[in-house]
This record gives sequence, C-alpha cells and structure tokens, in this order.
Amino acid sequence: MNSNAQGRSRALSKAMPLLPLIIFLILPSFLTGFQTELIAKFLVFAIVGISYDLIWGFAGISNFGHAVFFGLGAYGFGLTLKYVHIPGATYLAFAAAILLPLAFGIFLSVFLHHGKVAGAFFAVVTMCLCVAFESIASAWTDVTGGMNGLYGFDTPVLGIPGVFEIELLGFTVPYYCIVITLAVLLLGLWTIMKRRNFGKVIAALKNDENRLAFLGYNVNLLKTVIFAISCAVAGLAGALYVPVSTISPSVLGMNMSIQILVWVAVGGRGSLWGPIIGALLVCTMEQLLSGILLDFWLLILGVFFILVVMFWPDGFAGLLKKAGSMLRRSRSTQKGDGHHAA
Amino acid sequence: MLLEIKNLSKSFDGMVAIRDLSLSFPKGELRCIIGPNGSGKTTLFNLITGHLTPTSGSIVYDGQEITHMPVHKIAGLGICRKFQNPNVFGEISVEDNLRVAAIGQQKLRSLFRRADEQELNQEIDRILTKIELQEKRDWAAESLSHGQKQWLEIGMVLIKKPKMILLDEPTAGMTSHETAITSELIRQISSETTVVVIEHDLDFIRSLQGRVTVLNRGDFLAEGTYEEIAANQLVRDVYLGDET
Repeated sequence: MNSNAQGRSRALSKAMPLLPLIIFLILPSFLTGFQTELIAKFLVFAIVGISYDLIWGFAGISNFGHAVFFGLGAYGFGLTLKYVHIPGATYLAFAAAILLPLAFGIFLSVFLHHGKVAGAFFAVVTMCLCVAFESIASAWTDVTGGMNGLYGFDTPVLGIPGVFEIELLGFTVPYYCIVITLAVLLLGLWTIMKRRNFGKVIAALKNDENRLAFLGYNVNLLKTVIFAISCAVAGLAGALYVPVSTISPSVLGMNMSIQILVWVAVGGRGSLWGPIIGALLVCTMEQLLSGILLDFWLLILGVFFILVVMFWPDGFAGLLKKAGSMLRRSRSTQKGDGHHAA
Repeated sequence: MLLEIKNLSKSFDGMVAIRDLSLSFPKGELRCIIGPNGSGKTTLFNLITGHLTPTSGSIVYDGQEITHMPVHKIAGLGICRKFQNPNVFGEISVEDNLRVAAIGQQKLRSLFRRADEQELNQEIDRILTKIELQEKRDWAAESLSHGQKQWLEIGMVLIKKPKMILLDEPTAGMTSHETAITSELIRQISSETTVVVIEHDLDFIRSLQGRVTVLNRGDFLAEGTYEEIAANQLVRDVYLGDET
C-alpha cells in the first residue's frame, strides 16, 4: 500500500467513530417526535449500560443489582424537584441524582470488599439489595408514591434562572442533545482512561487481582474507585430517565438489573461500543417485536441471550471488531505469530 | 540482617507445615532454599509476603515487624515475589505488564496520568532488553511461551527495584537452555539485590553459587555452601539420596 492510501485509511479509521454521532444527530429529522423520544430513552439505557460495563466488563466485578443505582438517581432527581422549590432546583436535583447512588455505592464497596466479600458473594448481595430497594420503594408510599410512582414534582428546568430557561421535557431538542453529549463524553473519557495507566491497571485487576496486590496495589481502593464512578454515571442516567418515563419501583428492581445485564452482554462486555449497540439493538427489537409477539418476545430474547453468551461471548461489538481486523489483515502483511493485545 | 525469621510455626487444622523455624537472611546474599515436596518452602514464602499469617513466631524485615501486615503493604516495603506458575496479566501487552508492575506503590492520582513518561519508558526498555522480550513488547502476555512468561514475571519483579526478591521455582518448565539463561540472569540480579530462590533443580542451584538452606517437613535441616550440603550425610539421607 503506498503512503497516500495508508494515510487515507488511517484518516478514515479515525473518522469512523464520528459516523454514529452524525447519524444520531440527523436521525430526528427523519423520525416522528415519538420515535425520537424513544431513541433518546434507548440512549439513556445505553448510558446506564456503559456504567455497568465499567464494573462488569472492564474491572470484572460481578453485580446483579445495578438498577439500584439507576433507580436511586431517578428517585433522587424526582424527590428533589418535588420538595425543593428554589430557582436552579434542577441543578440540585442532578447533584442529588449523582450523590445518592455514589454515596451508597462507595459504602457498599468499602463494606463488602473490605470484609472480603467479593466475586459471586458480592453479586448475590447486590441482587438482594435490589429486591429490598424495590420493596421499600413500593411500600414507602408517603415518600415515593408507592406502586403508582412518584408524581407532582416540578418540571426540570435548565439554563440560568431568571435569564433564560429551557424546560427539560423528553420530546424536546435540548433533551436529545444533552443525552447525546453525555454519551459522547463518556465514550471519550473511557477511551482516554483506557490509554492511561488507570486503564491498564484496571485491566490487570480483572485478570488477576491477587497478583496486583502482590505488586503493591491497594485492590480494595481500586475496586471502590471504579465502583464509585460507575454508580455516579448510573445515577446521572437515572436522572435523565425521568423526563422520558415515570419514576416507579420497577426502575430499581431486578427486571431492570437483568435488562441492563442483557444489553451489555449482547452488545459486548468490556468494549467501548458494546453497551450502546446492545441497548439500542435489544430495545429496538423489543419495540418492534413485542407488540406482535407479546410475551413470546421474552422467550426470543432469552434464547438470543443464551446464543450470544455461548457462541459470541464478545457480543456484537466483538463481531464487528473481528470483521474489522479481518478486513485490515486482508490488506496488510502479518507480523509474527503472536496476537496483539487489545 | 535484612530478614529474620524467629521461631516461626504454621499449621493448617492440625497439619504442621512449618515447625519452630528460625532463619536469617543477610543483606545482599543469594540464598537457595531446597527440600523435598511438603517441606514448607512455599508456605515460608507465603508467610513472608503476608499471604498467610503464622500460628506463632515473628518475621522481622529491615528492623520492622511484618508478621501481620497486609500483602500490599509488605510488597510496598520492597519485598517482591515471583510465583511458581507464571503469573502474568495475560490480556494486556508485555510492555503494559511491566508498566503495571512498575507503578505499583504510587498514589492513586498518578494512575490518571498519561501512560508514557520518559523515565518509565526507559526503564521498561532496559528490562525488556534484559529479559530478551524487546521484539514481543506489544504481544498479549498470554501468547508468550512458558519460559518467556517466567522471564516476564522476573522482569515485573525487577522493574520494581525491590530490596528483596523471592523466586519460587523460577526454572519450572524451562528447557535446559532457558535454565542456563535464567541462572545468569539471577546471578546478575543478586549483585544488586538480596535474592532468595526456592528450587528443585540441583544443577541450577549449583550454578547459582549461593548459600543453601535445606528444609525437611517444616523443620530446619542444614545450611551451607552447595558443596557442604552435598557432602552432609543428613541431607543425603533425607533429600539427595546418594546422588550428588
């Protein structure tokens, strides 16, 4: 390949990640308001999926109750807007949505990891917590509105109070842009982190945490840091979920936790795009098929999930990566017989 | 004395692994620990590095009591261990394995810095050359051969500039050629650091020219140069048989 062609293909591969962004930005012009809101909702799911992938795919910490942090974010957001009536309350609501799950996540990680509860045991505890939180949210009707959900809170408003205000409603352009911006920021941050020492250390943590301890690392601290980041992002996603849905106990429950897991597994755990592909793919399929297939849809999803886990453990993102590298290999010569690190 | 083991005992549910063991390791020495299987060699390493806590006795390192310290704190004091089975991080590159090992005791903040500082990169290059893995620096560690993984792990220990290195059967699974290279490598290392080696390969131990301690069933049996040990009747009966 001459240098011109090489330069072009390198520029192309750098521009590739921008393609989905461009698609998402122009998509609303082709869709109805309802459909655009749906895409925004799916992107919020993708964001909580990214937060889950951080601990599950990247750091290797099993967690079966991630919806707790998503739900705490949503409830934190809604409750702040319900009881705090000052200008700029929306910003406080966002802060609450992040801090509540963050604090709980840090507490949980410190308490459990320091007590040497890790791996499968940690996962079981998170699962129980999930069930517990859903029950509490259902029963505490005075605060949460119980099974009916949380209502009667002010509409979230961004901008500068008194100067200019933008209502954050699910079907508006500002909302859509905020969600996309957040997703792009997260992807950018993940890419940067992966290249820095932190990324390599977390990859090593997933591989062999005992060896890491022998090298002088405080493994519990590392786990808590990544867990904290994950919970904060999940909480933020929960806040963004409020304008496109109702805040009800199911947002904290096992169903939601399992869905998050399925999105990430199908999309490809540990990968950058996996959670996004997974959330969009599964949610779109559900939207299109559940109307026709009703409960049969769950069976299809279950079988689909099993197939992915058995035959394509790297998910759809893994398949795309393989296709990409096969394409690259067919154009260049092979170097050595060892495979390169991801 | 860099490391002192005083009346150390360890039992597991009644099974005694180490019995009232007292050993001293002077600074800068190259020591080999040998003994039949089950003599407590690896258990001794586990006790020193904090992976296990002794039933009784104490371990004093550089004047400090480290008997009940957590693993990562002991590692932070400069005791570095290489395990029996190659214990490298398979999914990241050879170079990154060294990088992760090197930045072990640093503050959390430094982990968020860029992964390419001049000084660290030079160190990594130096080590890669020493362990002859320069060509394979981008390879995922799991695609290395068994011997190369052992060297990578030795490299990961070296890059931490430890005060004391514990090598648990470093030549296990190696060819005789690889073993010879490893012997040379360890002799080079021991000129800069205190090294303790657990090994079974007697030719390898002889080539190291270090002091030898013999353990048997958790007890101290003998100590001396290789020639003294080989000539020791007690050792021959228990361990060496009649071959020297």
